[in-house]
Amino acid sequence: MQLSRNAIYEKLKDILISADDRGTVDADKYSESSKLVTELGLTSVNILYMVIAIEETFGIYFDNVGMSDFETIGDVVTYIEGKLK
Amino acid sequence: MDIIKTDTKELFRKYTDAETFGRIRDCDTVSEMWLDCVKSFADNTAIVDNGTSYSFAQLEKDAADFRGAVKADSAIRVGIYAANSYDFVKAYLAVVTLGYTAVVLPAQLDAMTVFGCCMKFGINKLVYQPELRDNTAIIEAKRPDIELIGIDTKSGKSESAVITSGETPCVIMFTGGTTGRSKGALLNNAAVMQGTVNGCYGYKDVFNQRYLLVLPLSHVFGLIRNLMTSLYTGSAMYICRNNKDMFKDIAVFRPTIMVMVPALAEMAMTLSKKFGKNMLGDDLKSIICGAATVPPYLVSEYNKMGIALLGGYGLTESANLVSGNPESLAKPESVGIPYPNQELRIVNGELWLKGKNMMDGYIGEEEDAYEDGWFKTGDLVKIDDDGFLYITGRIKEIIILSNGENVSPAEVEAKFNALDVIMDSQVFEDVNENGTHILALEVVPRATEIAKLGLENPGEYITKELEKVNASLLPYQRVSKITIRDKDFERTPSMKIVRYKKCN
Repeated sequence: MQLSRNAIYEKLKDILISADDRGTVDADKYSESSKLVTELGLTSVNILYMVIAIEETFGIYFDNVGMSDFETIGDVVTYIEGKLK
Repeated sequence: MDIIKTDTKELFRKYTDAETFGRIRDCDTVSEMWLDCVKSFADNTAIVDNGTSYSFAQLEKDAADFRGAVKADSAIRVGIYAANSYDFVKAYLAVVTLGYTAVVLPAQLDAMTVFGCCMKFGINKLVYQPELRDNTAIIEAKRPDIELIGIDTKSGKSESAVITSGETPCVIMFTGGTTGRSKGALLNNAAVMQGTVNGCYGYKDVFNQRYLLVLPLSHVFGLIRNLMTSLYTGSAMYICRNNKDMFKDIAVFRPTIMVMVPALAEMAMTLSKKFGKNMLGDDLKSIICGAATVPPYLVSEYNKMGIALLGGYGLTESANLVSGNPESLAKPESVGIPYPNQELRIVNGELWLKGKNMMDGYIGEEEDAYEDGWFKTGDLVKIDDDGFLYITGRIKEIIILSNGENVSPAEVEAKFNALDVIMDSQVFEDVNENGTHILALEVVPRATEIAKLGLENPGEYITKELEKVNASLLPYQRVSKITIRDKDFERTPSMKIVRYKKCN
């Protein structure tokens, strides 16, 4: 079944909340336009966690993309959407 | 302060099977070790990379061919500018078993820095990975005398390893040094081999294991504790080319030992909890954790999964390993027992070192890191009655209060970090509204532990717990202001907290 963009966003929010165990990501305050590093404060290890958790959750495989390719939460949702098509 | 000599390895005997312990022997040169490995483990898998397994015999055959490519008329320095790969291992072994010095350059260095390193470290030949070829153009233009050699070069000639001596220089490794300026530490063969052998102490069984390499080989922790000890023990090492694939690689290779930094071990733990399975695989017995402080919480959480998380302490200048903790469960805050063939002194709280594992010095820098032949680590330590070491802080981080008392922030932070609900903390000097200098504390809570408690007001609970710890401290160590953060601290690229400098 094709997941809607909103459903992907919700699942991604779940991942981001648990991304670093530091409780630094308050998902309710953020939207698709929120920036991963400058607004959510994710470190390189948090982003590694995010990528691995996305692969596990959505059953997709990230190509060799650089983390700087994703600026916002929306960028990641778009990437997952593209992979699920 | 007395000098502590660690002339015996007997302290570690009780942690290892008798037969295994007997196999751990000192060795002075990488060439001797390597030739012995090729003889003893010829058909064993040494390296798995990019879907191919290479035996010890195959690795020696390929290293012999590469010796043909780097061979010179006299001892030289050979730069190795490449990411983790089988070719890296082959090139490194070829260079050091010719009695030459390998200058290990991190693959992320840019063109100008690589050029600068060639000049600063007196590199005669530079081995590069094809993908990094563009970054060597400036060397080709400005220093045509430096020979550039592709790491995949086949010379068609087979050159044998050369037996040298323990004093023969072996590697130059990048380090921030004790003052934070990056420089090259020169380790001789005896130092590298002592670091390699030290990696064997403190486990039940250390031979014929399966390692997964996730750390860069341009760091001593990756090069010595991971690669060198893996080779020495006839173990197989699987090279994880991209850390995002580490759990897929684990499922395929089923490692028994992993060498990690605490941030990565913590990430693996969080993922295992989220997905309700042991992401590190059922075969994993030990995690060797270092390069940053290991939170006691991680030791106990991994123990619940049947994995021993063993912390330790080391420096690039000491060929990585100074001490290792075989009693991590009983003494989770300790960095363990000092390894053999070292001398330790504690001078005004600072750890000073001498020993077979110590570097010959920095290259291209004149830094006063020595006094009377002792290397001054800059780390503040204490030692308990059982001989276990504890790091209590860094000299340059010491806060001197107006009453003259010296406070090591790391020592105080460790007390707060011991709470399960605290992820990390920072103690610093601040000025209150009256202009008085005070000690302040900021903490980052551990969300999963707090969620477990199901509290209505987590902030109040955390504050109370912190206040209890605060009251248990020595009066001059107590903090007067507590802040609970909703964001992590700013961090350095190696994940260390960027320390506040609010008062100078």
